Amino acid sequence: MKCRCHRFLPLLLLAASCGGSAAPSAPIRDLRPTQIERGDKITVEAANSLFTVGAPTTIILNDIHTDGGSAVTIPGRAVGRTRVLFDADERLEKQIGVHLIDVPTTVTVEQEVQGQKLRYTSSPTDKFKLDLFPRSLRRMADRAASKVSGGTIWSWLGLTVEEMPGVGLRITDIVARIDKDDLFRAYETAPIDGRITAQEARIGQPGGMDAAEFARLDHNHNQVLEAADIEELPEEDGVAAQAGLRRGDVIVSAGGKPTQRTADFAAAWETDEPEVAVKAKRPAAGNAWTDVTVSLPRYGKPSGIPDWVIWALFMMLAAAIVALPVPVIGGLVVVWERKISAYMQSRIGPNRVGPAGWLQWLADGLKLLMKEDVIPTDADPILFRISPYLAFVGVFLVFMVLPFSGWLIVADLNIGLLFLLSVTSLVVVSIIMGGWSSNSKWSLLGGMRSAAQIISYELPASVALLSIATQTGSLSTVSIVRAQGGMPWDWYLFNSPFTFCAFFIYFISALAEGNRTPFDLPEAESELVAGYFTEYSGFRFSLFPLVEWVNVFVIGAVTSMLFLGGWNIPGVSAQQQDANGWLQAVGFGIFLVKIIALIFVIIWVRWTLPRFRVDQMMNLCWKYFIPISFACFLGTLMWAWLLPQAVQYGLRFAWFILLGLGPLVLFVKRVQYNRSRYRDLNLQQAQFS
Amino acid sequence: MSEMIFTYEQSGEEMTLNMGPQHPSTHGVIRFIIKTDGEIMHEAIPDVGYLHRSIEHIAEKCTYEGFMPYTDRVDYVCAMTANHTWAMAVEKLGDLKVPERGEYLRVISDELNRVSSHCIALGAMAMDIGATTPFMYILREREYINDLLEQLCGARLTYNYHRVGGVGWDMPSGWRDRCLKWIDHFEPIIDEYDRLIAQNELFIKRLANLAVITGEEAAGYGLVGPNLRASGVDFDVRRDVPYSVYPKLKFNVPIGKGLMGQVGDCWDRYYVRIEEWKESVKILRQALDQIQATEPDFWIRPKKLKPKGDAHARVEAARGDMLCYVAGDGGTNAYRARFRTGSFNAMKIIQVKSKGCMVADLVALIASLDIVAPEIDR
Repeated sequence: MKCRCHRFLPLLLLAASCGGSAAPSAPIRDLRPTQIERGDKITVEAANSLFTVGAPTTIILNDIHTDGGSAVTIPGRAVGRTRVLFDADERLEKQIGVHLIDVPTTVTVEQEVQGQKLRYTSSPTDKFKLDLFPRSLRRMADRAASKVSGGTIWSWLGLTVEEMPGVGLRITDIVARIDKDDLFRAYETAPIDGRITAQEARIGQPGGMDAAEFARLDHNHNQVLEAADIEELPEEDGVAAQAGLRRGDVIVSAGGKPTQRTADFAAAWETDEPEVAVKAKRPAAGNAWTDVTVSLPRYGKPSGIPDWVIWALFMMLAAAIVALPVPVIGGLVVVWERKISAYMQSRIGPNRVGPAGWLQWLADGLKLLMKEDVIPTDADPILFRISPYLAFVGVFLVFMVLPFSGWLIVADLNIGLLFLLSVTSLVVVSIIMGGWSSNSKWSLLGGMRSAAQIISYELPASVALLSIATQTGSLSTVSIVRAQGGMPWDWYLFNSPFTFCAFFIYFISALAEGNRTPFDLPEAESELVAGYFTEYSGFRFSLFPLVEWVNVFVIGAVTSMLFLGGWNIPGVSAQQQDANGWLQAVGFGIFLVKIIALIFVIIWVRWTLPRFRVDQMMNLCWKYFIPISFACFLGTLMWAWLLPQAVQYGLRFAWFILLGLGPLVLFVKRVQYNRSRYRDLNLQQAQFS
Repeated sequence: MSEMIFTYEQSGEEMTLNMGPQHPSTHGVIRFIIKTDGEIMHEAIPDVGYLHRSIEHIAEKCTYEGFMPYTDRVDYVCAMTANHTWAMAVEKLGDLKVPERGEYLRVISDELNRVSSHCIALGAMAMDIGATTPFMYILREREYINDLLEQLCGARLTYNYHRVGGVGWDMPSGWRDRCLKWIDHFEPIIDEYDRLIAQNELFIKRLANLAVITGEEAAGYGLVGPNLRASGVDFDVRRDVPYSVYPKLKFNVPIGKGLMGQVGDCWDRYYVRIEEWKESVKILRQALDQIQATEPDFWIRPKKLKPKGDAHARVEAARGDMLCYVAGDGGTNAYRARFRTGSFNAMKIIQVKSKGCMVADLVALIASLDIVAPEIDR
C-alpha cells in the first residue's frame, strides 16, 4: 500500500493549504556524487531559500522504496543519450543528464547554522526533487549577461553572486575556463564506467582543464557532457576564475572593506590602486572554512549596459517567444469558428482576406487597432483601462505550463495545475472590473453574472482536475502527460468510470469558465447587448474576444493534456519520445490534432445549443456538478485504493470499449441516420424559382 | 411600527434598467423600463410609440386604393394580411364583390405570408434564447417563400398585392407547381425544426412554465391569434368569424395543451406556431387544388369608389385578429380609418407577467408574444 500513497500528494498539499509543499521539493543545486544509495550522504554545494546558504549541508536518502521496478518519472527535459535506471534492488543509479530528479524516498536535510542544528525530513508520501543542473531561464540569462562584454563589473569578472547577510557575497556561478574539445576527447576515450582521470583531463597542461574544474567534474563528466550545458559555457576566461576564485566561495572583503552588499563590492573598484585585493572564504571539509586571498585587476573595468538590463531584455525575448503566437492562435480559432458556423448555417463565411479567408482575423485586428479608444465620461478611467490587460494576462499565463511536447514547455512547474487554475481566475477579476468600471448597468449585470458563473464553475473543474492529479501523484503538467500513454486506453479518460465522468465535468465547467455557449450569459447579446464589454471600443475591445478565443484553445489543450494523453504517441514510450527530437515533433502534432478536435466540439456546441438562464446555470453547478465531481473524486481514490493495479489496467481496455467505442458507434449511426434524413429533404437542390 | 418598515424600493436595492429603444432583442424600436433586483425583475414597463408613423391619419389623406401600399407598413412581417384587412373593410364599405379566384389568391398569399411570419417569430425566439443556428435555418425557408411571393407580386417584403375588389395579379405560369413543390419540401422540414428546437432540453427548460397566461387572462387582456390560442382559448377568426373562402377549406385550430408545462406558457406559444405551420400548409394544399376550378377573373376593379357609412373587417393575421374600421363620407378618401392589431394588445400583458421573472425571461416573453414594433405603433 505504501507505494500507492504518494498519489494522494495533491490532496495533502491542498489540505495543508499549499504552504507545506515548499519544504520537500526544494531544488538542490549541483549535487555530487552521481550514485545515490541508501544512507548515502550528499554534500550540497548550493541551495535555495529553504537552506541557509553557505552553511554546510548534508542530505540523507533514508529509505529508498521502489515502485514495482518501474522507471522513475522524471519531469522536465531529458537530454541526449540519457537513461535513467531505477533498480529493483533498491539501488538508485543514475547517469545524470536530466536536471530534475524525483527521488521517491524520504530525504533528510541536515544543516548547521551558527552552531544550531537544523533538520528537515520530507514526507514519506512525497517525492523529493533534486534539481541537479538548473536549466532555468535565470541561469541562462545570467550566462548571456556575463558573456556580453561591456557589462557591469560582475559580468566583466565573470561572477554571479548572492548576498549572505552577515557573511558576505557567495559566488553562485563563475565563468570558468573549459576546453570543450578536450573534454569531448576525454569522453570518447574514457572507460565505460564514465570516470575520467587527471591524466586524461591534462590538468595543468596547456589547453587542459584546471584543477578546480576537474574537481567538479571528476565523478560525473558524462553528466556535464550530456547535459548540453557545456555548449552554453562561455568560451572566454573569467577574470575572477583566472585569479583563483571558485564557485561556493564567499567574498568577505574587497579593497580592505567588508562586502556585505553587492554595492560594496562594486564600490571597491572606485580606487586608484592597480589591483584590488579580494578576500574570500572557501568551504572545506566539515564545517571549516579556509581563507583565500586573490588580487583582481582594476584596469579594464568596463562600464556600459548594466546586466540587469540584459537580463530583462532576455526575459522579454523569452516572453515574446511564448506570447507572440498566442494572438495568432486566437485569430485562427476565430476564423475557424466563423467558417464552421457558416458551414453549419448554410452560409459561406469569411473568404476574402488571405487564402480562403484565413487572414480575416488580421484585417479585423488591424481595423480595431485603428479605431478610437473611447472611454465613457463617467467610467472609472483607471480600472476601465486596466481590465482588458488583466484578462489578457490571465489567459496568456496558462501557456507557461502547457506542455506542447516533452521539450516544448516554458516552465514545468511542480504546481502546474494549481498555477493553471489560479491564473485563469484572473480573468474573472478583469471581467468584474470591466463591468463595474464601465458605469453601464448592462455591463454591470454582465460582470456580476460572470463573477457568479466563473467562481462557481471553478469548483467542479478543480475537483475534476484533482481526481486526475491523484492518479498521477503530481500537479506538474508534464508528469500528468507522461503518466498517460499513446493508446486511447492509456488515457485518463478511460482510467476508470469516475475519470470518464470527471472528463465531462471538467469539459463542461471549462466551457462555463470560458463564457462559451450554453454558458455565455456574461455576454448574452440578446439580453445584455454585449455584457461586460458593451462600452469598450477599439483595441481594448478586441482584447476581450481575443482572450475568449484563446481560451477556447486553452480549454482544448488542458482537456487533451489531462484526459486524452497529451503529446503521447501510440506505441512509443515517454522515455523514447524524450530522447528523440523527431518524435517530439510528432508528439506536438498529435497534441495539436487533439486540441483541434476539441475546439471543433466546443464550436459545434456553441452553434447548436441555446443559452442557460442564470438560475439554471447556478443550479446545474451547485446541485449537480459539485456533488458529482466530489463523487468522481472519491470514486477515483477508492478505485485506485481498492483495486489491484493489474485489474485496473485490464479494466481500462474494457472502459475503452464500453465507454469510448460504444458511444462512438452509436454517434456514428446517429450521424448516418441524420444524413439520410437530410438527403431525403434534398436541401441542396431546393429551387423554387 | 409602520415607520420602521420601509419598502424594498426605498432600500435602494432596486435598479432601474433602460432596455431599448435600441436593443438587440426588442424586435424593432420598443423601450422597456425595467426595475430589477439584480437579475430578478420587479416590473418591466413597456414604452411604445418610437415607431409611430400616423398610418391611420395617412389613410384619411389617400384614396381608398392609394392607401393599400401603406397597409404593408402596418405589419411588414406579415404584410399580406394587413392588405387583406384593408381591402375587405373597403369592400364591405363600398359593397364590392371579389371574384372567387381573387379570394383564393388572397388566401394563398395570406397563408404563405403567415408561414414566413412564423418563421421570423420562431427563429427570432430561438435566437433570443441564445441559439443562433435555428434562426438561419428558418430564414432559409423564409427566403423560398419570399421567392414565391416575389414571383407572385414582384416584392419580397411589402407586397401591395391585394386590391380593393381582388388581387393585383394572377399566378404566373408554373407558379402553382413551384408552390406545391415547396410545400412538399417544407412539410418534412417542420419536423426537423421540431427536433432541433422545440424538443431541445435547454429550450424547454428556458420556456416551459414561464410567464403562464391563463385563458381568462388572455381574453381579459385582449390577446389574439396564436397568443390567445396558446392559452387554451379555441378561437380563430378564420373559423369563427369566417371570411373569404375559409369556410370551404378544412383545417384545425391548434391550441396550447401544456405539453411541457402549464397551458399558456412560453413553450406553448412557441409550439402553437409550429402547429400553425402545419395547418397553413394544409390550407395551402387545398386552396391550390381548388383554385384550378375557378374562373380566370381575379379582380373586379371598382369604377367609382366614393362610399358612405362605415364598415369593419377582421382577418386572422399572423399576430392574430387584425381589425380594420373604416368610415367614408362619400369622398374619395376615408373619413376615418382604424387598425386594431395583436402586438399592441400583447404589450400590455408584459408588464403584468414580467413580475418575478429574470431579465433573460423578459426577452423570451417578448419573443414568445411575437411582437412586431410597427404593428404596435402603426
